[in-house]
Amino acid sequence: MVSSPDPLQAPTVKAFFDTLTRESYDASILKACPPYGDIMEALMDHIDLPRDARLSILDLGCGTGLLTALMARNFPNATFTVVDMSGEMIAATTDRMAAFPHTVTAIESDIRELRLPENHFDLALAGFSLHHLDDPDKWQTYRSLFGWLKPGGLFRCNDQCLTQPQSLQAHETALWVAMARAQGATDQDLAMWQDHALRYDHYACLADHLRELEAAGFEHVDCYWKQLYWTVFGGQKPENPKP
Amino acid sequence: MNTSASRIVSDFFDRISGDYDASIFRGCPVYEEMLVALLDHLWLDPANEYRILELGCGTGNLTCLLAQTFPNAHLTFVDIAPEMLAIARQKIASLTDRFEAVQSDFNALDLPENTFDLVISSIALHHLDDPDKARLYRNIFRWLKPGGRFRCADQCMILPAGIGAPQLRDRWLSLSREKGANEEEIALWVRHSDESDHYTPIFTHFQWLSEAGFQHIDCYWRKVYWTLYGGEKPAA
Repeated sequence: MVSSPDPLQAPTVKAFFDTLTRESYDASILKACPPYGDIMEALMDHIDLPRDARLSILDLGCGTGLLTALMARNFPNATFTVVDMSGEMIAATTDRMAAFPHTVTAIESDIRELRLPENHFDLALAGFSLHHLDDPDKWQTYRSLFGWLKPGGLFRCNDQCLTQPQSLQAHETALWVAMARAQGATDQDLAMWQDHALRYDHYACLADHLRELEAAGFEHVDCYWKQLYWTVFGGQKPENPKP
Repeated sequence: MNTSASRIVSDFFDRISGDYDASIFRGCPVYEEMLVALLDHLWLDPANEYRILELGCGTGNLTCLLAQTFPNAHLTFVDIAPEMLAIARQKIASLTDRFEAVQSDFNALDLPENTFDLVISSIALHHLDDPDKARLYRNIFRWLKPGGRFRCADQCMILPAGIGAPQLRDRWLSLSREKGANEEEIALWVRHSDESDHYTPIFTHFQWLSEAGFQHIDCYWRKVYWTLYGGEKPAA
C-alpha cells in the first residue's frame, strides 16, 4: 500500500485514512472531538448487555481500534468482526487488539461492498464512520445491519449529525472551533479537519437517521447523548422481526 | 464552553447559589450546562424586540436569563402555581418592565395566533401526559409567528431501558451527589419521577412536532434524561 504523505493531498476517504497512523489519529481525536470520553461513557451506559456473555460484536469503520478496545475491556468473552476500507486502519486495530485475548476477524472492505452472515451479531457499532457514506448508502447500511443482527440485537452509533436548519450550521461550527481551540487545536489542525469534512463527509440530521432506522425495521429508536454535532443514537432489532 | 451564553448563565447562578431554589442544580445536575446549550441554540439577535413565551417558568431562572440575553424583548411567562409565578414576577421586575405573568394550566392556555418569535420551556412539559403534549405542540405552532422557533429542554424517555434503568439512574444520582445532593432529597426525587412524570422518547416528540407542522426539527443536546429539542414554524 502506497501512503500519501499529506492528508490534504489524498484523493479519497480511503487514501486519507491510509495517511494516518494509530498515533496520529489518537493524538488528534481529543482535540477534534473534546467530549470523546463522555461519548464513550454514554455509549457504554446504553449497551445493556451482560458483561460476561459470549457476544458477537461488529465494528463498522474500526479506525485505529479505540472503540473495539473499549468493548474488549467491557466484554471479556466477546468475539469481534472489525471492518475498515483503509488497510492502515485495519493494521492499527489489529496491532491494538494484540494486547487482548479476544478473537478478532479483520475485514478490509468498503462498507458498501460488505457481505456478512444474516442473524449473526448481538451488537453492531459504527463510530464516526457512517458520515463518510452519502445518505442513500447510509440508509442501505441500516437495512444491511438489520439483517446481520440477531433478533434482539443492538445497533449503537456515534457520529456527527447535521444541526437543523442547515443555514445556521455556522453557529455550531463556531462553538466547535472554540471548544477545539480550548483543547489546543491549532489553525493548521482546524484547516485540516474542515477540509476533510468538506471533501469526504456527508452529515445527515438526527431526525433522518431515526426515521431511516425505523424504516429499516429497528425498534426502540433513540438518541442517547448529544452535544453540538456529536450524537450517540441507535435502535434494536425486534425479538420477532416482521417477515 | 467559552461562549457569551455560558458567561450569562454562570454569572446568574453565582448570584442565586444558596437560594432555596438552588436545589434544582442537585436534582438536575446538568442544569447549568443545559441552559447554556439552550441559549446557544436560539440563534436570535439579542438586540431585537422579540415577543417570547415561556411555558412553565417555575421560580423564573430561565425567565431572568432571557431578560438578560434579550433586553428589548417582551416576555410572557406562564405557570400553573401562583407561588412560583409570584417569585418569578418579583425576580423579573428588577430586570425589565416588559413582561406579562399568566397563571394557567397549559391545557387551558388561550393565546393569540401568530404572536411569538420564540416559545421556550425548561423542565416543565414532562408533567403533561402524551395527548396533552401533542395538543400543546399544535397550540405552540399556532401561537408562533411564521419563522418563529420552539425550544424545549426537558427530561425524555430512554429506550428501551426506561427511566428507571439502574445504569442510568446511577449516572444521574452520581452526578447529583457530586453536586452535593443528600440521600433524603434523592429519595424524594426518585419518588417524584416514578409517580408524577410522563417521559416521552425524543423520536415521538419529533413525530408530534412534525404532525403539528414544525420543520427543521432537531435535538441539540442530550445528557442522560435531559434533552434539548425543538423546531421552527415555516416562514410564510
